[in-house]
Amino acid sequence: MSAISIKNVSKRYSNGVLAADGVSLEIASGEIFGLLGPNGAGKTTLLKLLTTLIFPTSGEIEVGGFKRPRYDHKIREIIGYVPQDISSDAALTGYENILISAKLHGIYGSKAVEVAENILKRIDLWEARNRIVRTYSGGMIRKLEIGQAMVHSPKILFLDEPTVGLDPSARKQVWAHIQKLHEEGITILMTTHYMEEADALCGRIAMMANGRIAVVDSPANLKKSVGQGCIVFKTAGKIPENIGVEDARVNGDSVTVYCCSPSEELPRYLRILENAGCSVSSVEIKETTLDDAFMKYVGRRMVEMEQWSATRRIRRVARRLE
Amino acid sequence: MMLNEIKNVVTILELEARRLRHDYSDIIIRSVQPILWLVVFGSVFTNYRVIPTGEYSYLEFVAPGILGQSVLFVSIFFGLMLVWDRESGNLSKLLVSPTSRYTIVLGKSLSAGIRSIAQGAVVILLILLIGIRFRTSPLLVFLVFPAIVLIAAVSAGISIFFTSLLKTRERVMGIGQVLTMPLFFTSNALYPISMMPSWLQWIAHANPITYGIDILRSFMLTGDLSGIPLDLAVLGGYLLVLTLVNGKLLQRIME
Ligand SMILES: Nc1ncnc2c1ncn2[C@@H]1O[C@H](COP(=O)(O)OP(=O)(O)O)[C@@H](O)[C@H]1O
Ligand SMILES: [Mg+2]
Repeated sequence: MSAISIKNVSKRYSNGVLAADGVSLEIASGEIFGLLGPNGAGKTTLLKLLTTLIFPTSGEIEVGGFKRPRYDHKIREIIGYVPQDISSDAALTGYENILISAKLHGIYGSKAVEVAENILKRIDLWEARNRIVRTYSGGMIRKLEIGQAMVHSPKILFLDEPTVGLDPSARKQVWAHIQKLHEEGITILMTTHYMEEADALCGRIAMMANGRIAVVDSPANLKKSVGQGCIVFKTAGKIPENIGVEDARVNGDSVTVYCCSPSEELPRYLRILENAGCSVSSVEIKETTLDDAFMKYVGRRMVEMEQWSATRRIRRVARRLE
Repeated sequence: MMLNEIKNVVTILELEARRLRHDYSDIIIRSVQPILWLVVFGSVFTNYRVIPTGEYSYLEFVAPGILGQSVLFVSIFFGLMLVWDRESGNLSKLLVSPTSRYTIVLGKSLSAGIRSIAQGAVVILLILLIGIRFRTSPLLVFLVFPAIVLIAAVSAGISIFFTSLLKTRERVMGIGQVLTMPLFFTSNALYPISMMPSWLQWIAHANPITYGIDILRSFMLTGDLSGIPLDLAVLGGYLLVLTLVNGKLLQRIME
């Protein structure tokens, strides 16, 4: 059964921005699905549409088998949501935050205390439970927020940029936690503009730009569809005319070989080159990345679009200050 | 269903109580203003008998007004903070929980009451310190606190209403002043309604703060309870309408 079903959904905000433009998507139960795209792609908008925060301008949305907007109240009972911006109450302790979340989901009394304690242990915040959240690190806050979203054991969890702004080790911890929830069978829909994150966590991803979904597939398939990675051999001395590799490109003192899985095929090519009389001084491997796939399906690199939207944001602020 | 929503209101109140327990510096800072009003403004007007307040001294007359003012200021600011950042994760999370929109706004409005009770207790203490004595019974003085909750909830409701209509943060910044001053000065906080020109009397009669301060004045000063049913009806009516309207607005605010 589909956990999430979106049919031809558009969202135009009151200021005229078309943030979702005919989006269709089916996500199966138990999937860990990623929306990958640069800032402003419309990822948050799609999550707000699915979590009943805003209404679509057109199109049909079903979450956990419940149609919007008729069954919004039912949807709210089976979903957990961690917004992009900090949603824990900075003035309360971690324990109090989870306790209040539990009560808002109809869990009271000793049951609420029990749920809060269990969750604090699961998210490794037991030691810090009585500290005010304002003193938490970014990674701790994210884990707490995920914990708060889990109080009522939701079927579907929505995570909006779960690791944005975290340092690498905190990011790894949050990843491990998301992975654990996935293994417990929870359907997870997350957004990210980090390609490594989508690659590492998601079973399938949708590449988004300008309110549209360009392609949906597994990270592996997407990379495969772009074709090959390459190996760049730097050589010392002369490169012979015929090196015995068909697809090789010679450029100055370097030889570039295109192939599907560069790290596995490296030894073979190295042997061929040495046999041909090349003395290889260094090797560089370029695996295909999701950014290459993004380039193929969206027509621009994500990094480029990020810079552009950052510039646009700065411009907008500057205009306001004038 | 109904019971669940009541429980949710209580949870939202608990949230505010816990917040207040961790950090009450706000309450202390906000005590400066009523001190100034009472000590400076009140004493000057008392000495010169500028405003006729019958058998009571002006300080006695104005004390419930200043209490009402503190409650008004706390609550207007509270409502403003609640919705001023519509993207705030805090609000989104509340809206995604299975709690009705109406429950959320009612809970948040009454939360302003929690904060105002703490503020009110401090102001009442100050009033006593300054040497003003309540002429009514201790029971009536105690009833001041539920009255404060009602005044606070209506004020926060008004603030939530105007804040949700405004689109940008910049505009929201100024709204606090724009709301509190007229509500305060067109009420009976500083002078009896009978002293006002008739156009102002009309406004004063429409101003919910007038009814709130009337309750405070009855409980703290006159002990005359004949106006209380009307006061309660008007404030209750305002709270009901504001809760219904704000519940609708809260959905639109995210769009
Ligand atoms: N509440 C809103 N009102 C008007 N425009 C909005 C609103 N929220 C987002 N947008 C615009 O919609 C587009 C998509 O935004 P968003 O969904 O936040 O993208 P992402 O999460 O991928 O960064 C952007 O151009 C953004 O400026
Ligand atoms: Mg976003």
